[in-house]
Amino acid sequence: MDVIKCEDVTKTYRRRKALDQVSFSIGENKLVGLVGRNGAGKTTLMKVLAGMLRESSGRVEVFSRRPFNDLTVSANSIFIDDEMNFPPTMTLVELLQEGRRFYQNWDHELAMKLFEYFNLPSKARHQDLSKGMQSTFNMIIGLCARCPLTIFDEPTTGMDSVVRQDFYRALLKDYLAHPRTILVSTHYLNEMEEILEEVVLLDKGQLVLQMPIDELNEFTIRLSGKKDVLERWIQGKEVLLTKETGHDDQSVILKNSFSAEERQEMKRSGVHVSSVSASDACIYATSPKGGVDHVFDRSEDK
Amino acid sequence: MYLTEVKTSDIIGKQFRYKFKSYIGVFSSLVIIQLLGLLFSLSGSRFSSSSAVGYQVDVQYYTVDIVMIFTIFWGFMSAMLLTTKAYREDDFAFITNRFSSNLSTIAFLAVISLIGSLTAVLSGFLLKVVVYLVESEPLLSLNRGGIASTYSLEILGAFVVVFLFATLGYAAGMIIQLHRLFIVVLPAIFLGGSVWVATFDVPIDLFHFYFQEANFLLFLLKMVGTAGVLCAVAMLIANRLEVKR
Repeated sequence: MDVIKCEDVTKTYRRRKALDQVSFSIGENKLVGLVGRNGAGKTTLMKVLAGMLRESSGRVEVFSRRPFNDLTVSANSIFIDDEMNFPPTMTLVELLQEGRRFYQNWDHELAMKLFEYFNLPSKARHQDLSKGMQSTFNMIIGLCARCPLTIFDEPTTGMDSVVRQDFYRALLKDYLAHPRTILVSTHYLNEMEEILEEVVLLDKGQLVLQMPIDELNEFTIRLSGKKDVLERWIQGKEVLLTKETGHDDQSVILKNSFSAEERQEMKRSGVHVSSVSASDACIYATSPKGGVDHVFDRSEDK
Repeated sequence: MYLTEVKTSDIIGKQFRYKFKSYIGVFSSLVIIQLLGLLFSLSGSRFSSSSAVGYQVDVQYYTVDIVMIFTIFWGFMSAMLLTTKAYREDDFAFITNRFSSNLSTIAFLAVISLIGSLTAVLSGFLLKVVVYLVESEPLLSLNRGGIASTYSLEILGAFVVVFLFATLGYAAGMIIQLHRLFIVVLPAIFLGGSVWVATFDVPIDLFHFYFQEANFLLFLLKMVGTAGVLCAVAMLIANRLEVKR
């Protein structure tokens, strides 16, 4: 059964389309990364899935129900972001106790252990914490609620790199012990590559690709060598990025549609073939042609 | 996959408890506003004087009418406050939908209205004690024999009025959440309506309809009925509101 199913989901804010006919589905017990540039529509999509925003058109199904105003979806999913709104009158420990009262699968022991491990002040209030500590606290709530659908929107905002690494470990361990569907949006795909199983890439409100992380690692390829040699190989292919590396040396990144024999032949003709990591692949698949270099390029022939 | 099944009533109960902790601020404002009302009441609310040849009788009345009015205002403002984003979206940190969130807020409003009217009516005793201590003139008590049932009726009457205004504030707040412009439009409609009624002698007398009802049961019915309609309006609007956060 699919936990999430979207068909032509469009969300419009006034006239701007934040989501444009997005269709995809996510199965049970998967750890999925949602990536994309700023303003790609990640947060909007997650909020629609969590039932906070109402889709403008299309069909959204979470546990085969429409999430907007559905209590069962709310009881079985949790949405964690860096703007969580907690009442200013309650201390952090009191908030954890509220979580325990609301969520049936809540693991309070784990919550308290993590709370201590990350040195969160028990008497403090949520709004008094630093950005990174707020994120850490929110993350604890998200993990311990053990909801069949757990959504993290930029969970690592403000966390230092040690806490980020700890979070990835905690997420992976808890996911393995209690498999569930987890959707994480992140700008640090390179850091999360190892724990994610699948990646959904959005750009300008549209779905660019959805594939297992292993495939994404093979998805693009970098070729570098002499311009005239490269020319032969890249003709008719979709080139994502071209970079001048020398007088007539060039490095290009393009979709990997070459067979093993072709790659062998390329190497023989002096082309250097290297792989591109999943996170770089996502960047190249969504960055404007030419990159920021292009903006600074004042030569006549641009 | 194992899905947790939840009962709406169960969630409403949990949210109700959660709201008591998170909206605790309304009680401190209640204490402050009622003490302020008492302070104003100390100067007496009505004064009458009659005189004939050789003597003059001055009567100073002490009532907690001002406390009551302040409490009604407090109910209205607190309810409106609860419709603002920061308060309305507190629920969305945990399990909720708009229906359960609204019902638990309305239940919360009912309970704080009851508490507010209870303390407002009881503040009458405090006022009498204070006046007794500070006033040197002879005191006459107009109390109705001090029967518990009269006070209960008084509290019940006060409660429905405070609750009506709380739901009015709640509905108005929700309308404002729908669009900012209503902050200006709603008072304009209200003032414009009153001017219209006054200048053209339109036979609509809301005050008479609600507050000069002689039959107590009918009065309760009108109050509760109107509050119910206002709640329904608020919920209809809230059902469409998105969580922007």
